[in-house]
Amino acid sequence: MNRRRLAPAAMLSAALLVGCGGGGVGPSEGPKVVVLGFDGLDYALTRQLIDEGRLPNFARLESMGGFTRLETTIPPHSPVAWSSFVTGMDPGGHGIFDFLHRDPETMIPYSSTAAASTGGRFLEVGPWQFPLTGGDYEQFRHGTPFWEVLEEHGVRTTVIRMPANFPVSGTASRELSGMGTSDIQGTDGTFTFYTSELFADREISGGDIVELDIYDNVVEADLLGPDNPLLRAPERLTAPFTAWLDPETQSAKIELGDQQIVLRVGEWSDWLAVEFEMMPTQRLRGICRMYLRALEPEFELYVSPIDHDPMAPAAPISTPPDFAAELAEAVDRFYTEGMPEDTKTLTEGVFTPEEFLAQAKIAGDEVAEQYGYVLDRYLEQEGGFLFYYFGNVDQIGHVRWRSRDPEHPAYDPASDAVHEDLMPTLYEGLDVIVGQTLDRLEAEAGLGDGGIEAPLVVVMSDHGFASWRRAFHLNAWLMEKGYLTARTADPFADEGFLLNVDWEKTRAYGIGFSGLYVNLRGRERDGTVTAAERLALVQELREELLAVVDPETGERAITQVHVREDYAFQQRTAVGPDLVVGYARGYRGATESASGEVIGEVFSDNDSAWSGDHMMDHRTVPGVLLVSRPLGRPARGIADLAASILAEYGLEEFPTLAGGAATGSP
Amino acid sequence: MSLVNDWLRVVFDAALRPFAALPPIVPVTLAALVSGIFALLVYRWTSNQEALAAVKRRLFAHLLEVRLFNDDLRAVLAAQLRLLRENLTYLRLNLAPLLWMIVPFILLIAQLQFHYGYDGLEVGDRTLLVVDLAATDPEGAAAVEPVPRPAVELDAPPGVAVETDGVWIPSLRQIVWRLRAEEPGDVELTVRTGGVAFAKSLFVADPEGGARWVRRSPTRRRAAILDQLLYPAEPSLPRDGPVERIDVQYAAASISFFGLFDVHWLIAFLVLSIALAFALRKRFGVTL
Repeated sequence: MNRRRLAPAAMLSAALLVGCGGGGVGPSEGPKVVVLGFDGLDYALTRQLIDEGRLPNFARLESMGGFTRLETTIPPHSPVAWSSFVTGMDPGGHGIFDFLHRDPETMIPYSSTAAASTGGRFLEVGPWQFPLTGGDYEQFRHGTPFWEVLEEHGVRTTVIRMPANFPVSGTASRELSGMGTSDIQGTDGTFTFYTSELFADREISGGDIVELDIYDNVVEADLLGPDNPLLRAPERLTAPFTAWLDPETQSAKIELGDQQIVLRVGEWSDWLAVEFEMMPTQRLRGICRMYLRALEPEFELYVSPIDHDPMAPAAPISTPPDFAAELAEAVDRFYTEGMPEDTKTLTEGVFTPEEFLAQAKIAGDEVAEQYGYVLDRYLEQEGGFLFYYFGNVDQIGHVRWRSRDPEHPAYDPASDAVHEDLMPTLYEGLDVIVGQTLDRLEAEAGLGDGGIEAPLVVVMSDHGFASWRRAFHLNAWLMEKGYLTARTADPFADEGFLLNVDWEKTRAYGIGFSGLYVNLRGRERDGTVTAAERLALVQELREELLAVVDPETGERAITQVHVREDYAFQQRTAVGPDLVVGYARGYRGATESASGEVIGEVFSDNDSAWSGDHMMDHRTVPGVLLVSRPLGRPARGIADLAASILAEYGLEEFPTLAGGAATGSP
Repeated sequence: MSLVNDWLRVVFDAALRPFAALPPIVPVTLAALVSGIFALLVYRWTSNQEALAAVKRRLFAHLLEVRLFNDDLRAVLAAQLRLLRENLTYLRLNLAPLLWMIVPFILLIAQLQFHYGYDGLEVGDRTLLVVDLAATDPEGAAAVEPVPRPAVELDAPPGVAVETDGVWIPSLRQIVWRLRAEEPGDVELTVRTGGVAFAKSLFVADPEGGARWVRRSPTRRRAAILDQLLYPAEPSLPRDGPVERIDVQYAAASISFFGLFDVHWLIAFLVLSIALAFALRKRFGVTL
């Protein structure tokens, strides 16, 4: 190579060495709109705390633009409400009616928002199978995300952790998936709890408990992954780790792959990289955190659900695909599963409330720290539209709400009273986020030469919260009333998932937290009700449900029942329920019934740690809407917001509004 | 060997210190240039240049033979055999300069590895200090007896927090502390056992800038010849002392190859030194 040919390479190298700035693309021009999505932020509590002066930045926002209730959807479930926010449609339009749907042909329940497709072609060689076509994830949400319209009109959009947006839509400039994103096993998050306690081995909801032996203060065990997709016969992937225990110092050295850590009892590890060897040249990469709970009298080690490694995710969690790695490099690795607060540890009795709150704080701090980076990037490079989601208040609210409710049947003065102020404290944390955002955006606007319109800041939530004291077992009620017949009355033989339903003798059944379905001939696999009989049946069910009284309290348990015909759920009738049950404040559909169990009592006390909820009459749990200036196109409900946001950019037409009233008002 | 390492550390530290705040590809390229020139000089002085030129000509001729007589299977096979023979001759002629180069290159690579093969720690990062103790049990002692916790102490200088007590692992005769870097600097930890103190270096990089690419020593080992050759970044531990090795965890580093991609420094060094040697061979009148 001669000198002349070397020169350009040298110049290129020099330019690259000094690092020539940020890619040469400036921020998107036009208005800036920042939406902070605070899942589960309750209107009444927010109002109270603003009035008490505990949320000064919320108050600042109220004085700038306003603070109102934001009507949630029918039913007021997170995936439903957020899908309405994304598309501007009601559930009949976007097709998400609950957490769970059922396939009417097989009567098998499934997650309503997304699923991994197991199809594809394989080359089979001995015990191996090599995929010839890529596996995929299917997003069940219909409709056009509003950010897609913005992008089509040249507005750059950044959408971080939008619920029910897994796999990512691929249409925003920057996207990170949120609620609904699975862990590496394809579940909503499955932790593993290793213990030396005898006979502890069992599967629990949301986790595995693994019993292990200790020899000479050394523990050898395996992290549990999914089944090896490259093997024809199912065989679970594992990654070995070793722990050397030192009871004298109450600490342990743990070795996982080429990583070594030391944890004292009660300490959490940083993120650890996990590699599952599928075959000698192929590895599945994940990340986990460890928590050393105890060394004596029993060894207890919690390992978080193994999440996709954002540095090399095996699932479509970001747009562009390397954006997750960018976030991880900028801040640190992070929980990629949709709901990182591991509530199951508390509801299953693995963690104390304090331990759960420590874990939830780690997850919440990660999100807040990452927001700092995303906001900087948005202001300096992206511009346009930014949405950022915070789920900490919702998840902690679910399992700690009873600390605000001494009337709750599971209220324990010893453990709950100390957390009486927990929820307000969490709201104060969000207030700090709002303050940081307002300060940054005001500083940004102040740098302008006049003529630059101040960015619009929107704080919104998908629903509020209420105490959940009593559970209503819809399927048990249907059975008691003769609408549903069980195959067996033995509660121990009822495996849930509608497996105990005698379909030939059943006219109606419940699945999901609010959905009630007619066993309709021609739609359901073993339908018994004709189309002509259907309307009379749903009206009969509606009247009976509205008359249900809790014998324990003497209160009506159900205050609203929506029949599809009275409401806007005219589309996607194969998926959507025939009736949506709206429970009175304090009541909610029982978890057992929601997952398809049939046998049991009609009412029961909610003695679970899961003590706060919103899956009730939507009027009892409105969300919040705070704006830094009045919206050009006001929004009454969450589904109106998409059109309001588009209007800020001068886009008055949003083609996907469906079913007339989008917000859920009948 | 120990004296050689002491001297090499001083030389390399002094030579590479000016580049400590620059992208590591700069000193690696310079080292590759010097190495390439050194290799050319070694070739010129130690190899049979005439024989090398002759064998290369013959190799080329046999390649042509294969190409020209490709319709004659016997001629092609005979040419292949001659190619094989000449290749072996070529390797034999390269053996002498390679033998001359192997020791200096091992010393060079070992030194560079501890300047550019590791990264971190930064302020706020955690690492483990792992001390492996020498086996002291007399031969034939009952193996079932629990090994008592030895008296080992750790002194950390200001700027390094010792977050845990030493975790004693009898089966490995190992004691482990977790450290947290709180201030940048090149400091020494002191491990005391059996009335003797052993130092272990620890480098904490300044995240705000400054000298980042300096000598880091992830391990300090006993004075065995191979270990001294491969781990020269710190003086060896006494051969008969109570400590077998002291390790500190640093992350493996990769360096930016002129901003194009990240690569281990050794790959960049080998590619560049070979490329530069080939580029300069005519100027030095060397046949490779």
